[in-house]
Amino acid sequence: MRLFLRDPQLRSLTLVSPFINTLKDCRFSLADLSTKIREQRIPTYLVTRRPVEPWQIEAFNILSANDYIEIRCNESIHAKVFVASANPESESFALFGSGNLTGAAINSNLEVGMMLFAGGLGRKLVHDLYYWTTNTLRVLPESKLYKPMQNRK
Amino acid sequence: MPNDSFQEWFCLKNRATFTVDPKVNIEDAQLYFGRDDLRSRIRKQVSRAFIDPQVPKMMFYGSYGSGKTQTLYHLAWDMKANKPSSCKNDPHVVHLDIEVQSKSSADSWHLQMTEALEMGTVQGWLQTLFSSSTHFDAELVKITPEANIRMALANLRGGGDLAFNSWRWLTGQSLATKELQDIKVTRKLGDVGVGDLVSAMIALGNIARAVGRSLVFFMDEMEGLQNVKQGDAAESWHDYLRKLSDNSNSSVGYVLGFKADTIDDAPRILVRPDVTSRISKQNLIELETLAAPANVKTFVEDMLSHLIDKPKADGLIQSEHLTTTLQTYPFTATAFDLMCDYACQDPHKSTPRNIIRTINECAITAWDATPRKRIVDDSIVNDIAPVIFG
Repeated sequence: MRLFLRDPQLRSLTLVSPFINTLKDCRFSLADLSTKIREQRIPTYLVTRRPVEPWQIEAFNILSANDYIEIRCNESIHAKVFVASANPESESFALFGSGNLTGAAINSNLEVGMMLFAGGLGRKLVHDLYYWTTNTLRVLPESKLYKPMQNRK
Repeated sequence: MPNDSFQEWFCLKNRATFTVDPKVNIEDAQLYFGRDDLRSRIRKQVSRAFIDPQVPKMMFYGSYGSGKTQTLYHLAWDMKANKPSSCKNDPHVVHLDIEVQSKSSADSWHLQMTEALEMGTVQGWLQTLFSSSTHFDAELVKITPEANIRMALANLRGGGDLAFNSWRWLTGQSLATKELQDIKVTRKLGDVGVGDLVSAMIALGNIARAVGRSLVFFMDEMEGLQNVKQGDAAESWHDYLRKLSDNSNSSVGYVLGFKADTIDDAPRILVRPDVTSRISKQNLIELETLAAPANVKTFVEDMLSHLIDKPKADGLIQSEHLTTTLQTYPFTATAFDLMCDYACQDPHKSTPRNIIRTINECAITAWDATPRKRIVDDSIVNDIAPVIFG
């Protein structure tokens, strides 16, 4: 299932977003993403805020059922960063900006975002974002483990 | 302490996690774990290379995660920090990850190398040469026999638009006829073949040497050359490498890294006999997986001894009566052995990358436990290691 602009073999996926919903009003839903993660065994790291509203809990339930996803809750998180680490590395890419992983961010809000491809100058930026999201951010004391990954490729 | 950071909790020395990545933290280039024999061998080769052909020309290959990037960064660091006595100049190292498209040719390689070297660096060298010589034009004649290249270098030292366009010309980019006229060169660099580009590159190396530097490029991810399918494009890459490999080039060194499980999997462009015979097969070095239990143990012990603040860890072990030793901290002795056993089960997977990842993930699992664990025990290793090495 092709969900991304590019569709390389992914080594890992990192989603950093204060809020997430089911994206059910979008072209690809959170359930579609979860299916792709499961089918392609993509180790995925999600850092977000603890769900409070029913729509947040619904999104959490979709991702919590996936053995390839680790979920951490960090109440200080304000960054919106999405990193796809690919094999080969030159196929990796990242997106950061103002938009959460929600339908409103994709469909109706005025948001800005910058897409980085791991070529030329973008390579180091993507690599740095990958390092920050998969290492530094995960071990912050505020990033509490909500659900561990059950399967690591 | 509940407010300890991950670094403090595990007594890490100057680092946030157990991950080693010289591309993010350049200080990590100093680290090279458990491969003392290989490091000695590389040092010998480098030392010899600075005598003849006066710059190193080497290639490293291995499977994914075998430590190519770390080897390249460490070698570059070591070359500067522990300069071989045979090296008369100060090494000037340039790192770059080579990007290759299916139709890329040597023009692209030359452009990437020169841009990574940077215009300002070469301008600085030219200015130094200009300041220290009474006859700059005569110095340029020693740098290169090519009149066009000499003209471009003279413009480059001068600064302004002429310098900018001259640099673009030296990188092999296409210039408009008017721009060529302005910088007083007769044709595009590379119009008469790859040799043109190599001549410009060697001229840059000669400038470096004239001001007391040895120019060495460290180029990673050369496996991308597998993408080059067109015959002419592939031949141009090969010609460029063959000419740089030739003994007549004594001013531009290179160290290449590429992913290949065996030499048969290497891009043919890189390992044809006319290249390997020029650099000698001793300079084509395989980075093997660690495989043997003794190698894995040495690697992990070496890694922990470098990353852990030993006095602090010793104090913690004593004060909290932790069931571990200073040698294996933050693993218990049995968890340490268990992890090494897992790492050795499949020789293809016993790579530095997998081992470092296992150590980091084990520590994160201990950190996430409720209550937080000070040490990694068997249960954590049994949870993490099988899925990484399995």
